[in-house]
Order: sequence, then structure tokens, then C-alpha cells
Amino acid sequence: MNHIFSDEIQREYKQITPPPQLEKLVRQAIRKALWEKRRKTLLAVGRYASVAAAAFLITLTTFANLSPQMAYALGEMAVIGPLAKAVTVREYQDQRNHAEAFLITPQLDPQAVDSLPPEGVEALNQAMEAYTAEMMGEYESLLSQWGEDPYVSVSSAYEIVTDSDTMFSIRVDHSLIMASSRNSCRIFHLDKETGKLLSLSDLFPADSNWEPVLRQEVIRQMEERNASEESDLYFPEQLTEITADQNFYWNEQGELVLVFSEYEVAAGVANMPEFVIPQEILTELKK
Amino acid sequence: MTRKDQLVSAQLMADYQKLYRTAYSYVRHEQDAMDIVQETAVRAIRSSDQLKDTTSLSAWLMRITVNLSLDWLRQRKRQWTRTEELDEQLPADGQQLPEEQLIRSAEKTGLMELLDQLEERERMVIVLRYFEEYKIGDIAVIMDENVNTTKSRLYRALDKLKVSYQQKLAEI
Repeated sequence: MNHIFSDEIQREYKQITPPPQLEKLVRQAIRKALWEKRRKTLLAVGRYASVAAAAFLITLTTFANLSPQMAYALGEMAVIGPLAKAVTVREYQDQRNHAEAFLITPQLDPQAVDSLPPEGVEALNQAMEAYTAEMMGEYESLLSQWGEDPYVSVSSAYEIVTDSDTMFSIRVDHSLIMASSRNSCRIFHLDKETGKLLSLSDLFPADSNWEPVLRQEVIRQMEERNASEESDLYFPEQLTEITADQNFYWNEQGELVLVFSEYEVAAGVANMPEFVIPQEILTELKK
Repeated sequence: MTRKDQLVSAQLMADYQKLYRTAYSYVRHEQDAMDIVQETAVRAIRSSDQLKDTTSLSAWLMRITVNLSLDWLRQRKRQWTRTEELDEQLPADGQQLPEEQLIRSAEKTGLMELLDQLEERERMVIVLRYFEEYKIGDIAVIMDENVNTTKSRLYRALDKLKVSYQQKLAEI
């Protein structure tokens, strides 16, 4: 790409390297800014909800249950429905030298959601706990694998993506930074009527050929995006199967959106790519 | 931490070296370039909630760094001007003005010599296009101008460099 400047000049530019301490300083700056922002939000929520102890709640504790107001402040609510305020979070924080973990586990408060089948609420809470346990396991294993002082940072966040009459969907994002970063997520869906946790395959009749149809559609969209951009960011050949538990959600237009992890089917710059499935395909599959 | 905060944090950790290089190509001072990168991180997290589109995070972070670098230069220029006004005298023979001191304190190399021939925004467009390999569209976003303006700025900068190369060749 750079044929304008000599190799020497290009080398000279690439040799501008930051002092090693910059990585730590950037992490500190991020932490400080997050902390200040959280504090500000909490105080605002505290004032709004008349939570006198909001300031007290700022102190982080390992696996402490936080109030719905706190959860509300921590979570990013794409959809604010009746259940949004019944979500509490549990936090896990760990910091040692250059390693840090800041993981949250959203939980539905069973007492605040007595209209829902209790076994469904329990299953959802357990599934989200298990996901956090998986992230913690990965963090611990990286720490033991990479010696005494590895540079590792893991964090999670949640977002309520659907809270309709029939469905409650909550998305938990997971970010792992170690040399470079890796973002992934898991989206949990609770059928409010049956209390069942839903997977992608549950959306279609048992004899439906949903997998090849959805896969072909996603591949078509990837190729279309590659053609419309200057470089091939998407790797259609990497998508060999859409599994029954593929991440999905319903967008505001009621369309099905499939979500992939970073690097799963595209270059990192595409982050976690999403593909909206056209309504006519969905209608056909549901027949 | 919201999902946007998480994405911004991850992108900052992936890009901080690139941001440093760009800032350094402007300010030519290790500590100042580090300060600019840290300030980029703080500002990005602070305003992440206002981000509507998270697909061009890298360009957005670069835009913050570029703006901070330009602010830094403006501030420095004001300081130099003020210093000159206060002194109300030209430096004695053999002494340098603060701006000259700063530029000379940085290693005077081929790259820096090259960039010195350009105006601030021309320098930026060259760095982003040919050294950080951004697309023209992204550079326009970073520099908050339309694509055609960026293109003409790029051609102008290349023209200048060509002229200066020719001058150099003539000197040899």
C-alpha cells in the first residue's frame, strides 16, 4: 500500500514505539474513567430513585447482590420493560498486578417477577451464572497458564434486548484482552409463557430446514458486504454451520438478528458482526 | 460497565500504540504523546454512551487523538507567542526560540524532516493514509471533513513533498 515513501522512512515510522509503561497507564486511565462514570451514574440514579445509600453501593464487593437501581445503572437498557427493573447484578472483581477481572452476573429477582414461571426464572439465572463461571474459569486458567504476572483483562456487561409480552431476552457480553482483544457474547431468551429457555432451533418446527437456509442467507450477506467494501472483511468459507444455540435477538422491527463472536466469521475490525434475516425467509421457515 | 464501554476499552487496548505513534508524529515528545493517549482513553470512555455506531470505533478513537494533538500544538504555539512577547527581545546569536528548541530536541530524522514540510492537517492526512494505512473515507471521518476535502488535502501534501524532494535532489 505504501509505495510513496521509501522503506527507510516507513521503518522509521514503525520504530516509533511507546514506552512499555504506556499499556499500564492506558488501563489505569480506562479504569479511572469507568469508575468516575459509574459513580456519576449511580449518584444520579440514587437521587432519582431516592436511594439514600447509593454512594455506599459504589464500593465494589465480590459477589454482593446489588439493588435493581444499581443493576439498572450498570446495564445498558436497549428495551425498558417491566422486567428490566427486576434485574439485579452480582459482581466479581479481581485485581493482581497486570491482571484484572470485572465480571457481572445479571439475575432476575424471583420475588419481583412472580408472574413468570419460577422454574424458568431459575433456569435463566443458572444459565447466566454458568456463563460467568465459564469466564472466571478462563481467566483463572490464563493466569495459571501464563506465569506470575500476565497482562489479562476480562470484563462483562449486560443488556436487555427484548422484554415483550411473550419473551424476555438478555445479552451478556464478554471481553477478553490479552495482547489483543476478543469480544463474544451470549444471549439468553426466556419464554414468558412456558418458562422455557429458548435456543435458535426452538424458533422453528422440528422438521424445518432452518440451518442451511439461514447459513446461506448469512453467507449471501457476507459476500454482499465484501463486494461493497474495499477489503474482504468477512470469511464466508468459515461459516460451515449455524448451531442450534447460535446467538440471536429480535430487533425493534421484530426481525431476527444473528450475532457472531469477534473473529468467528470476520476480521477483528468487524467486531461482533450481526446479520438481519429478512422477514420473508423467516415466515417461510416457520410454516 | 456497558457494552459500549466494553467495546471502547477493548479498542483502546488494541489501538493505543497506533494512537501513540500518531500523537508522537505531531508532538515529538514522549511524555506529551503518552499524555495524549491517556486523555484519549478518558474522553472516549466518558463519551461512549453518545456513540451511535460502534463499527468505526478505531476511527473515532483516532479522531479524539488527532483533535487532542492539534489542541496541544495550538496551546504550545500560544505559549511560544506569549514567551516571545514577554521577552520582547530576539534570542542572542546562537540561541534558539522555544519552538526551534523543541523541534531540534526531537531527533531530526528523514521522517520528521519530511513531515515538518507540511501544515498540521496535511501532515495528519499523510500519516493516517501512508503510515497508519487508513482509507480515505475513514480519514475524512477522523478529520471531520468531507471526502473531497481530504482528497485534495492529500494531493496538496503529496505535491509539496514532491517539490521538496526535487529541491533536495537539486541541492545534491
